[in-house]
Amino acid sequence: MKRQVVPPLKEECEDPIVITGLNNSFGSNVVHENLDLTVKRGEILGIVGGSGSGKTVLLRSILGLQKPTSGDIHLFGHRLYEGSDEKTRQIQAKTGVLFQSGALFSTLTVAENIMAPMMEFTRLSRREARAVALLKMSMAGLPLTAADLAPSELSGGMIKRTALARALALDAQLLFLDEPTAGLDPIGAAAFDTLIRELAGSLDLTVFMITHDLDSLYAICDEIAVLADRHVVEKGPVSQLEKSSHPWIHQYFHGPRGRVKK
Amino acid sequence: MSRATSKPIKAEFTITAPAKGGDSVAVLNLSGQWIITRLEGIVARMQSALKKYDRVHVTTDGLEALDSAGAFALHYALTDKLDGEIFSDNENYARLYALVGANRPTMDTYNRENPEVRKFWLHPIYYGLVHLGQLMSGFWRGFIAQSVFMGHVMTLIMLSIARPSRVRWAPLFNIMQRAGLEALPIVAVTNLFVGAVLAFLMVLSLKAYGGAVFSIDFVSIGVMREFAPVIAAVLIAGRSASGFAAEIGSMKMNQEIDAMRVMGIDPYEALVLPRVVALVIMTPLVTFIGALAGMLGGSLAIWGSLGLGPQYFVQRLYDYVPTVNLFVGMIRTPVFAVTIAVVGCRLGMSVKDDVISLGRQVTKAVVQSIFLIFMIDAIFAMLFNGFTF
Repeated sequence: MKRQVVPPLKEECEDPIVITGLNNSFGSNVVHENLDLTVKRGEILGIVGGSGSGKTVLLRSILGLQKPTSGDIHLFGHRLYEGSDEKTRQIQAKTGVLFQSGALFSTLTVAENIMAPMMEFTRLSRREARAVALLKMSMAGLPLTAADLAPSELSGGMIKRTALARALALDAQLLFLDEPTAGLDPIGAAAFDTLIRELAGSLDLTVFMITHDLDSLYAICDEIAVLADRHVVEKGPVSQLEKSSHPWIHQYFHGPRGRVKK
Repeated sequence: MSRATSKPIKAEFTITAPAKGGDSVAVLNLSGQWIITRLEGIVARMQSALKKYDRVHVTTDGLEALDSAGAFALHYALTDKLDGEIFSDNENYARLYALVGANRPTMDTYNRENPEVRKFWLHPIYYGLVHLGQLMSGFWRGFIAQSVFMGHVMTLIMLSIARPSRVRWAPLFNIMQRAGLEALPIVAVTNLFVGAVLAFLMVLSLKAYGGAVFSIDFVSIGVMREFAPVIAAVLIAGRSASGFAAEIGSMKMNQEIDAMRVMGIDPYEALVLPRVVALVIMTPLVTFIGALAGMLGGSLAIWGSLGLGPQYFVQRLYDYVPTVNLFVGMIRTPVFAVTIAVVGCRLGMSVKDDVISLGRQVTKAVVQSIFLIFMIDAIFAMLFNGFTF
């Protein structure tokens, strides 16, 4: 069987994600109103915001899992929901997603999970795909002895690492992380932060990361976008946001769990 | 975008052999796109092409793209034959190559420790036998587990007879309604049709002997002794064994069972016992209605084909069909009920953490309970062989 392979996407824009005038509402509940956001190439962007501020809705809109009420989302210069299926698949091949709970396929082993996108979108043989999967496991810091375990046998940190390896299986250039360190112990979370930082550096990734973890924000994010009042109120490096006068941002960085060091 | 421009260039390489007498370094030139979608088979081709050279120098004229899989393929084929610098003109590629190289020792160790298993030519037969063995030991373990579970439930029933205050009435009545009352329409309708079909068949074959009227005896005996209990049990098994397994199984996956245990609530007492008791109470009642519906169907069919009305049917029932038949049929229904409930609950309790095992256990619950129903029915039929008319 000849599998359909996706030709590489020709990039028409420097910035991987450009969102302009995004509106999202469910009935009378307005989640996003006139939201603008640009993610620059090679940047690690952290998204913060209170519960219910629409972080997940934003992520789902960018991923095309949920059609926005109105507004434009461009990925690599291509408008979402426009163009052929092939174009959509090209964009999908360039993006990787790490869902909050991992979303590993429970019928497949760890190696097979990482091989899944390869078996779908490349013509590699099973052996070749497995070799590449092992490489990705090693890059994600997984012990290779875990290759033949089922997802239900993995610890929380290993599930995250497997999901990261799967997201990077096709050498995605744009990585979406939904609370990557939630549910990990501080040591595991720190190790995962370092891993993302290293991989982003060595693979030249652009990372869009939703997180609540202040340590992650300080450790790896180049810039932080704050989602409040239904749009991005401020975007900038941590040092700039610490000085912000917006009440929510001030509370976030100066509150009891904030870590502005005097 | 036109097709021609989107046509990708495969990963390619050319090798220039070293000049005779000079230094023995071959030159490997990479071209095309060394990315994961263009790499199929390149490692094997390159390995065989490079076999005869000890040192290889790599140039990259015409290399358009490289990703980690491409770098890995190159690293894999080159191993330690690399001569001089690689990707000295492209920092990104050099970094990728170094990253892959850094991960290489771990992979080599793993591959050395876990060599690929050569498949034995008798593999299918060998595997089949192994599977058969596993199946048999699974059967045996299932039997033991079923017995242990049954014992647990029996003890609980004894305990709750001694202390009726501990019985959970609300779930008991809830399940009696869901598993019993709500199964009534389907059981009644199925029995009605089966009774009618039986009557038609009997009328058809007994007419030849001039004894078509005996079809009344046959239909009522058949329905009361065999058809009503088995049909009711099979339908209840299909509805409730799967339902019980799925309910308890998803509670187990959601750690609700653990939460109960921690709170000091015995999940057997709270979940299993009401289900067993509810089915034991409801199955005979449902079966009885089913038997009535079956005889109604039979009488309608006979009325239609022979013209003998319901009054005649009932009169003949009084005169020629002993009540013992109803008893023989009803005596097996509580046993069916316990089987269905215990199989459903036990398999629900043995669900592991993943979705697959939930699906598997639910399927097993239906298959096992229906199989056991027919087996038990056969045993009862043999035991009550002497209870004739």
